[in-house]
Order: sequence, then structure tokens, then C-alpha cells
Amino acid sequence: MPDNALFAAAKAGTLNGGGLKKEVERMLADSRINRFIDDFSRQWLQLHRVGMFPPDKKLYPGYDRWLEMSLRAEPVEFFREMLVKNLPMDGFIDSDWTMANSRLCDFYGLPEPATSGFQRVALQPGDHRGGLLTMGASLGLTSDGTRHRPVHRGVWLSEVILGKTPPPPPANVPAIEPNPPTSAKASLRDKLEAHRSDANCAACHARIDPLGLAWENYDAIGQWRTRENVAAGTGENPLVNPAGLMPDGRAFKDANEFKRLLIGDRDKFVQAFIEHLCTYGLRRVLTVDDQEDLKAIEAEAKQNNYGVRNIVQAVALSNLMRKR
Amino acid sequence: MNYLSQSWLIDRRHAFKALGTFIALPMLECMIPLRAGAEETATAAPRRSAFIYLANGVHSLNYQITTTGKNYQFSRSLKPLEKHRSVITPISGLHHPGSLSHHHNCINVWLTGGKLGPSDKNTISVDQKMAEITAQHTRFPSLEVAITQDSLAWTADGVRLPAMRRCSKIFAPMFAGPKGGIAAQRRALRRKGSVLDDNLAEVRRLGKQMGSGDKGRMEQYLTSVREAEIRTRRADAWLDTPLPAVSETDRKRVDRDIADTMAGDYFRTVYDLMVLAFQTDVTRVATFSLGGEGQAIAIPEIGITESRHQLSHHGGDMGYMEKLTNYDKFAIEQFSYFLTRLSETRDLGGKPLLGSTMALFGSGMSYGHSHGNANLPLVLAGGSDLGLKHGQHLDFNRQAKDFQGYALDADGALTTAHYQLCSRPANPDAYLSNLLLLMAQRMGVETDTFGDSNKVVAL
Repeated sequence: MPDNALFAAAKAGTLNGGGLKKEVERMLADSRINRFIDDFSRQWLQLHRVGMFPPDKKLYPGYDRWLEMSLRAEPVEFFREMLVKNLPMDGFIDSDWTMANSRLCDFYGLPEPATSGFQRVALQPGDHRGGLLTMGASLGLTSDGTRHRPVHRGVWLSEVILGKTPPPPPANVPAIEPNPPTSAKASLRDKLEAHRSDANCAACHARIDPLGLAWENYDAIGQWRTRENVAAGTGENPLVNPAGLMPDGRAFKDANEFKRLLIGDRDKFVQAFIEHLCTYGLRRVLTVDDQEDLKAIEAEAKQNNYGVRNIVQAVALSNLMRKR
Repeated sequence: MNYLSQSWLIDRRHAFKALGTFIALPMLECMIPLRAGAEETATAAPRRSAFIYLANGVHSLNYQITTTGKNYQFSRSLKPLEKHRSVITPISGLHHPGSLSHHHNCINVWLTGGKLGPSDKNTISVDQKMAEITAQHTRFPSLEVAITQDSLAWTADGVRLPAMRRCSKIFAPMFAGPKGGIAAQRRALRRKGSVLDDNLAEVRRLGKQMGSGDKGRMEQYLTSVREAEIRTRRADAWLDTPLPAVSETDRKRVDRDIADTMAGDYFRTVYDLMVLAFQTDVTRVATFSLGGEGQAIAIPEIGITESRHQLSHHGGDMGYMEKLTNYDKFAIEQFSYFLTRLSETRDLGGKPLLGSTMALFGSGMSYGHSHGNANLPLVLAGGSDLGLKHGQHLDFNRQAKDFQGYALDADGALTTAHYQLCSRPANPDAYLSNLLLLMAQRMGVETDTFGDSNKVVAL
């Protein structure tokens, strides 16, 4: 429900041009913007999936409800910081800081923060964190309770960061038979690749899987690792392999290089972010008729050095929103 | 509601104003006004249906019945149902085409036969389709229970109905009367009624300014409002009908809270509540999810401390496969208990409940490790008074043209090649919706189709 000031402005006929801009400014500064921050970030990042398959207690004894709540809050707090400080979009992909409470600092191996509650903490390269993609919530929300799922991670990244929903698998996929427990330990990636021998599957999976395999250094709840814990089989736990090829052929050797490639494609994820914002604001899917309006918002985003707050502002003031 | 269409040339603020008194529009149920049409149905015996969902499929190698016809042999997991042989039909080879390769989303369309694409909306579930005609006779249109996660029931608008979990909370509205007394409840209902009236008046005024494109949507909205109105009035009318009498023994058995570490007690008590609800005719339709796809509970009493989902991804581990089999057998034992209770208990007309109650037990998945959504494990029981003829293994795999027989080793045990059958339907036309259609028809729903049905299962 619009508030009295907004009704008054509308009645006075000043809800356009500079007057509209002023009202958007006012609303962005109002504490009620937190409702947007909480709600949009949850929907955009699919945070309702965090804990959907509760991690197995034996495999992840450190996982508890407080951790889960903290994990779910981190990206929301991160988005709040990005918006309030009008930080450039690249921060979503990589950053040398995050928002954490003491439970998360403990989980990520960061120094204990001075005060309680969520706060901005600095990250070092050795922490293997930074941006949304290496947060425990993003890495864990696609897991199934016992293991990480690279393909699901790829689909999530494609939807959230690139704004593209891959087609669902065809209905006639043959069943995967379990590996006999007496064979040598194989990483999930090896098993996936064995099942990708079918050319029909490979066509789609070549586009999805690399987006998920870049995060092999993180386990089902997002903890850093260099070897994958494999329950069944003989021999040593296999080393993880986070290298891969982007669908367009560019190679990356790990998560950091992958992030750098994404930042090189800034236009793509800025465009996707704007689309997510518009879908949220308009409550409908975007169509080809909206392209011109979206392009205008993108152009403005670029002009403002991709500041998150500027982008939200541009969306609010856009033609799309005004002729809704 | 669609505020977005170009042809709707009314002030956008009307919509905002309406938000203040916006009515949550939950279940789409019966359109028949209270007690209308009661003349022709009053004498007809009640018909009932229950649906029980087991998440994550089963350990199919120990579940699948490989013999067919009347003299079929029970599999290890289904053994607990042997004593009910004459009143059950295990069914093999059905699937929902819309859920193939959609993993755990299968639970969402198990009773609807809907589609799961990114732009698809779910459709009405068969229990709610049934409730449309039974609701006029009972205090509650339907009962939705889920031990964890969501219910199995969906409205015609594709909205999921909320689930109840705690046994005392299930018991209270059916048998203990409204909190705060009848007068307070009536006041609340009347207030709701007046909110509906206000909204309707406003909406009708707007209707005059609307183009034809919007009128369709507005009709849909009005339908929902009218249903909410009927439901409110019906609840009001039921307030004066005395609550069914429940014996002290029954009350003690079901009006309590059970920790989910006591899985067997929990399952049986929900079954008891369903029996009690059918017996007293509080409702005629019930769904029961033994747990959602992600969080189906462990069963410590038989040594299972893992979640069912974890067991289902056994990766060939012998211990896990054994535990999964034991879990299947345990859940089927409790279902067998339900059937026993139904056969022992008589309804208000003095007839055993089992004859007038169809109970469908099953899953939307068959082979959990690889998310196989074909060859679904299903058992249909009861309903002999409604014309169901039981006693055989109804096998749609065998009816398939190219079916080569089950993949058996030298000892007659199923081999892992069987998993293929659980992922790709042998019989591409054998839809689960065809069975749901049969059940709907036997409940008295007058329809030739349900969901994506292509014919009706003969039984």
C-alpha cells in the first residue's frame, strides 16, 4: 500500500520527472526498503532451498540450525550492503569482503568478529570466499543431504547469474546403475563424465556442467576441500578437479578463474540481474516486447558504473515499471 | 488477478486499495450450495478415498512383484499385505508422463497428473476433485496430513493446500469443537463473510468498466470468492450440528502428540485418525504424506537413523539397500494396519469401512538412486462396494508390446537391469492418471478424463 506522502504526490500530480525521482529516492532511504531486500534476494537466489535436503549428521556433524540460519542470512545481508553502499555489480561475483556473524566466521575459518550479529568482514585470498557464488548457501542449496550436485549447481548458476533456465532432461534418460562398492573410489565428476558418453546428453550438459564443476573445491555444505570424500570403493579419496571449459571454449582452472571469466562477461550478468529485478517488480515473465526498455536500463546501468542502487533506481524509474 | 493487462483501463490504485482487505483464496472445493442436491444423494451410501504417499520410491529389486494374474507371489517388501490379498491390487507399470526426469518434483503431481515445466501451473488433485462432490455431506471437505514438508492436495487454481502434522491438531477441529466456543467461531465466520461481501460489491462495480479480456480473469476471481463464501456459510451451518461422539478409548489413542522418533506409532495414529474421521463421516477424503521427498523421517525403532532420501541414494551399498527394503516393508506394514482397521470398523450405516473406502498407497518415484519416475510402486485397496474387483497383480509392463519380461538372474531374483524399467516406461500409454480417473469415477465424479488420462483403468 502506498503511503500518505506518495498518495499526496500523486494527487498533486508531481509523480513524474524529478518528482518521481525524489519519491524513489525517499523510498530507497526508508527502512521499509528492507522488505524488498529480504524478499527479492530470497527469490532471486532461491534461498528457500537452503536446508531443503538436510545434510546428513554423520557426514556433516558441524551443521546445525544456527549455521543454516546464518548461511541463509549471509547473501541477504550481502545484498543489503551492496544496495545501501551502491557498490558495483562485480561484487556479486567476487569481493574481498563478506557479511558474516560469529557462526559463519567460525565456519569459514575467519577471525572471530569483535561484535555480535552480521557485519562486514575482510576476506583474504586463502579464505577461498568472496561474492555470492562461494557462499555456503549458494553452494549448499543444490546439495542433496549427502553430496554436492555439480549439475544442479550449474543450473542454479545459469538461472540466477546468467538468467537462463536450461531445458529439462528428456523423458527417456536411462537409469544410472549404482557402482559396485568394490571398485576404486571415483569422484562424482568422474561418474558424471562416464554417464555423459551419450551424445544426446552431452549436447546440453556441455553447457550446464562446467558452470557447476568449477566449484568442486566445495563440498555439499560449502566447506573448502581438496579431496572428495567418497564412501564406497577402495583406495584413497580422489583429488577434486575444478577445471573446465566454458560453453564458448574458454578454459578455467578453478573457481577463481571462473569468476574472472564471469566478470569479463559483465554485460551478461548485469542484464540477467536487471531481468530478475523487472520480473520481480512486474510479477510476470519478460517478453521480446520488453527488450527495448531493458536495453535502456542496461545503458543507464553502464553509465553509472554498475552501481547496484543505481540499477534498482533505474528499474523503478523505467518505462517498463511506469506503464505496468 | 492480473493488474498488468493493457485493456484494463481502471485506476491501478483500486488494486492497491483492495489489498487491504484482500482475501486469501485457498481451496477450490465444492460449488454445490449447502445441502442442494441432497435429495438424490441422501440415500446413497457414502464413498470414501484415502491416498498415502511414500517418498523417494522403493528398493525396487525387493519390491517388484514379477508374477502376474490371480496367483501372483508377494515380493519381500509387499509381504505384509498378503493377508489382505482378496481386497488389494498391486499395480505395476504406471507412470505420470509429466513427471519423467523431474526427480523429486514427482510428489507435486502424484495426485494431479499435471506438468512441471517452468511456465506450468499445477492442476487439481484427484482428492480435491472428489471433495467437490463429497464436501456437501461432511463437516470438512477433506483432510490433509504430511509428517514433514507439504501436502499432496492441490486446488483447481494450482495452489497447494496446507498440511497438518500433529495428531492433537488433527483431532481438535474434527472432534473437540472450535477454540473459544461456538459463538466466537460464528462471529469470526460472519466477519469473514462481510469482508467477502464488501469485496464482491467493489469488484462488481469494477466489472462494468472492464474489457472482455479481463472479464475472464475476473470470473475466475469471483468464482473463488463465491467458493470462499459457500465454505464460510457451510462452516457456519455446521456449528449447530453436534460434534460426533468419540469413545474415551479412541480419544486417548489419537488425541496426543507423538515425537517423530516414534515413526510406527506416528504412522498408525494418523491412520487411526483417518479411520475415525471416516467412521464418523467428518470427511470422506484424506491424503497422507508419510514425509516429503527431502525429509521423510528416519525409523530408529528398526535401526534406521538415516533419512529415507539418503537411503534411496544407496549407490549400490548393501547396507543401505537392506535398510531401504526394511523401510519399505515397515511402511507397508503400517498401511496393512490401516486396511485391517478399515475392515474391522463399521461406518454410521453399519457396514465395514473398507468396502466403501478406496485406499491408494504408493510413490511418484520407483528407483530413487537415479530418480526413476516410471513403473511406479502402487497398491490400490478396498472399495469393493464401489465395484472394484481385487485379487490380482495388475501389470501394465506385461501388457506392453515390447516387454521382454522382468530381468531375473538364475535364482529368480531381479537384477540391476530392472532399474531401466523404473526410469523409462515399458508401456508409454499406461498413465497413472488413468487409475486416478477410475477412482474419481467410482467416487461418483461424473467425468471421462482426469489430468492427462488417455483411458480409464479397468478393475
